Amino acid sequence: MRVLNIAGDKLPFKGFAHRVSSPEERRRGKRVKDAVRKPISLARTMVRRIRSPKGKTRERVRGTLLQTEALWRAMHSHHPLELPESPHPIGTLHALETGGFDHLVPKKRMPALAGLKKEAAGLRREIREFAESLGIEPLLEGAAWKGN
Amino acid sequence: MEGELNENMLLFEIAKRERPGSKDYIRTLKFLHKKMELEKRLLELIE
Repeated sequence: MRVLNIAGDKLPFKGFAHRVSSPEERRRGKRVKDAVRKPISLARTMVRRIRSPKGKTRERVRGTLLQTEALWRAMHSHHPLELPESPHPIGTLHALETGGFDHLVPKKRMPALAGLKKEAAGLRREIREFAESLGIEPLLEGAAWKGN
Repeated sequence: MEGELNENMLLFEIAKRERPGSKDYIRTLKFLHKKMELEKRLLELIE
């Protein structure tokens, strides 16, 4: 069996080259050659999915969540404070507010995202006001979140 | 952009200054907890 190898990546499936058109497809005038071409385009789609740039944004959110959890845990247990490296200079709350995750959310889940955006804006304002009351520099402003 | 802080860095700065158990320390903890919950929900939404 032949393993498809596109752009240097070995794909996790085999044997598509053996696929031929079905009797129904042949009746409609489809040639065997077309049927062979189809799985290869599918393979290309899969390569694109594996390399999806959207994964980067998700990784950043996961990284930021880990950072938040680490800080919360250290504060909660009165351990010496250390802030792990940030995966992105712009925080998730700001990113949510400025629509940085819109491209990752399916349309039918958009109402849930709208709720999160409002909460993020509120929380961010509260944190900013709290920090300012203690005389600490304000949050990042004006910089747009670049998802990918 | 340089010199400015994101939310986690800001909360970290506050946490460093405050004495554990003080009112502002506890408020910082609450903010962090809220932020964690929000990020978890965001992850559920985008995954």
